[in-house]
Amino acid sequence: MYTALNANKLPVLTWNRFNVNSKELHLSNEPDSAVTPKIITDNDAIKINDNRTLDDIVFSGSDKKTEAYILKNASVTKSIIVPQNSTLAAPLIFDLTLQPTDKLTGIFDISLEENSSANIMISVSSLAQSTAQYADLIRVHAANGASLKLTCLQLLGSSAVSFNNIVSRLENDAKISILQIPLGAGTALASATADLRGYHSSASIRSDYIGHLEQDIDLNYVVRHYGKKTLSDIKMTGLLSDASRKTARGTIDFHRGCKGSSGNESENVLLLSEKARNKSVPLILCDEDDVAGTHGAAIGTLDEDRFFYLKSRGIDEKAARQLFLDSAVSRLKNLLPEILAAKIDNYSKEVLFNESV
Amino acid sequence: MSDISTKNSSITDVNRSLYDFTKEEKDVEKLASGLTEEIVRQISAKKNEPAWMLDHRLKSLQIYNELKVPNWGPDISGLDINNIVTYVRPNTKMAAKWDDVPEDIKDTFERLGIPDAERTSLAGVGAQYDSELVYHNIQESVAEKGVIYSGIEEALSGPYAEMIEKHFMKLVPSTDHKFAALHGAVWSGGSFVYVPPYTDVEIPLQSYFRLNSPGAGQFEHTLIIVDKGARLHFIEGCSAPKYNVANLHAGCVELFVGEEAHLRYSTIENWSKNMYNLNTKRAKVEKNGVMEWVSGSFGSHISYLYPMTILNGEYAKSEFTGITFAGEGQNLDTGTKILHNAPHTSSVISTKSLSKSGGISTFRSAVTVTEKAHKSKTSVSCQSLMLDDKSRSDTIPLMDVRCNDVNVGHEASIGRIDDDAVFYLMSRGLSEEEAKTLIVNGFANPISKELPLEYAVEMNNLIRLEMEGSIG
Repeated sequence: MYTALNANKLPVLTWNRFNVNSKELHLSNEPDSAVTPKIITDNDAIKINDNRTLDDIVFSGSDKKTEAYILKNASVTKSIIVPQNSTLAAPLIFDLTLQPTDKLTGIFDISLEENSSANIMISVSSLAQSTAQYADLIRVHAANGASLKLTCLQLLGSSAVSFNNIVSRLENDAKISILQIPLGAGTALASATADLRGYHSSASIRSDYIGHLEQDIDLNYVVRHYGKKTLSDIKMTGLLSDASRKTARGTIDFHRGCKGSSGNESENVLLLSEKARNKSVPLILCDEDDVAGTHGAAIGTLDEDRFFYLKSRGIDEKAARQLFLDSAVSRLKNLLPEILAAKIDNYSKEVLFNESV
Repeated sequence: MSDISTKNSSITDVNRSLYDFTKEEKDVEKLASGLTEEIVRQISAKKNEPAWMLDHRLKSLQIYNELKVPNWGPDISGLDINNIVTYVRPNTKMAAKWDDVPEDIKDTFERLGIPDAERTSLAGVGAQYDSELVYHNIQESVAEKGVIYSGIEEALSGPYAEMIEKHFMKLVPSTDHKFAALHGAVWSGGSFVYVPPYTDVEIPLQSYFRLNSPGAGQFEHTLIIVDKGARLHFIEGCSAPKYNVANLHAGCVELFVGEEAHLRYSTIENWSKNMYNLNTKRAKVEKNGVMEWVSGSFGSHISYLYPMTILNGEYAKSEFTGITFAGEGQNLDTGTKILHNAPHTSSVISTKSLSKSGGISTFRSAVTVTEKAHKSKTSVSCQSLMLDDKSRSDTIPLMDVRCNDVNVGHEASIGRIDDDAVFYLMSRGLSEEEAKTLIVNGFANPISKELPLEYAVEMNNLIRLEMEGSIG
């Protein structure tokens, strides 16, 4: 049995025929497999327990039905509490390795107390051939002056389904910096919502992807500005090869009263294949005059001059495309600590650069 | 009528007094309100139209009843089709001389400046009053070139009947959306233009649509065919007085731009603030053809308006230039759709929107690049200016790219008047109010200067005068 969900909902609907208003998702109702996250940390100050701790915080989120499914089905629950005034320089890593047919639903409640900061990473991976299902709900509450860097790396196999779903609420002067890398899974959903409630709170959301094979990537980012002088920056960068397709929704939502706020979203998509398909829906919703919202997008292929140059150096078109893939992988590896970079290396050898796949 | 040369000191909205006058309904023929098969058959019977058209109307009615209202866009629950009179016939026949038009109707169009514009700067004019055309004329020199400009109903029974049957609601099928189906069922009036190959219509043609009857709908159909290598500038204007009941406009415009042809279609929409403007416009452009839209949306209570261009031939081009001004009580959802369906096609979309006094302005667009559209380029730019903290402005663009060797660019910005710019201008001796007015004028001018001459003066006055004294 499956639960049919409309995930990654666009905050304001548009024409239905383009199929961008939400992403239809069918998640299994079967019980979760037994998966124990490996926790890598060298910091004793941080508190981790197995209970939900953020049920009382109101998040605007994206789709309540999807969140309800995760809350009901989660077999892994981790709460991370970063004490007041503490700084976690080294990353706290949750490493989830799934077997090819595993199903896992997880909740991560991250509470940053006043003036604390942390760097948290969640990695989900499986073998290249996998039909695994992974869904999570990561809830973040950043108290006054707190700061979080959150990285989610997804390296599931080519027939897997993944939904990485982050909701956050930020108080005065709090900051969140999110990086999602939905590299694996045939159906890869990634979502992040930031509620900038406090004065001068800020959110930076970045997504990096390499669409390949028949991968279906579906992104939904929403920053809601409520507090005065709040800042947001959404950046989506990626390339689409083979018959991959991607839908990206990015919304900056200025609510009345968020005077002095500014938001920016940008998107760069490199199309490396005739069969690749890209949809982009960048929204700016504005109910306040004293704000500045901007959006820019560039969607296209490699320019001919660059191809010509590479050809003049003896590199044919296929090799050139491979070079760009390689450079994209290197860029992602540079964003991660060694332990996760090595996982990307393995994945790219098994999937991205494996011509037998 | 107000004196538009008088500067306003505190105005919060577009001055509509030029359009907001009513005429008594004398001897008009009105069908019952609502939408039934009987009403559709009655409309068809009055027009003595071919059998295929009645079939089309009845099929459209069936589609209308099957389709749902959009689940996106502004709320149109205040519109009840059961309260709308779909056909109102003024007590006159179509004339080719203004002197033959009944006095009160003629006076209406004179106050709107139409006969004067015809004398000075137009090659032909069509004037529709409620559901029927009351005047249609084309300059002899233009007619001699073989240009056809007539009422579409009149053309349905003439030598161009076959051409109309071949094109009518082929670009905008009744299945497109619920209000296209409504149009298909009850359409009445509108213009037909045919420009023969390699014919240049140097002076614009203009159709003006006036809705006078309270609680009525206007459903005119405009069909324009610009044949190979020909050129045309067509102007469309519309207005209505304000009533306390909902009025509906669900017209349809179908434009066929042939190979190497060029069509500019300019619209100033200035419906009253009780109007639901659910209009559909679409153009298909063949090889090397050029389609230019200039669209000004100032009126209506609620608008859904997204002129669409299908770039169907190699190297076809489209340019969309639009301005939307939403004031108190207005929710204007406007934008455009572009379909790149052939190689080397290009499109440029440039829009500006202003919202003030609680008005809601939404820019909505869809750019689709199909698998066939290799080496195509598209650029979208939309800028929104919020003039107070009571208003709202949303930007909802969409890009669907199915071809890799293309270049798609998009940029959007929303904000208010830049304080630094105001400060700079004040340092040069302007008052704060003058500085802000200058900036708003500068924001709107790149678009308003694209408006047709006969509208530019009027619209520039509207924009500029209404801004003066109202900012801050």
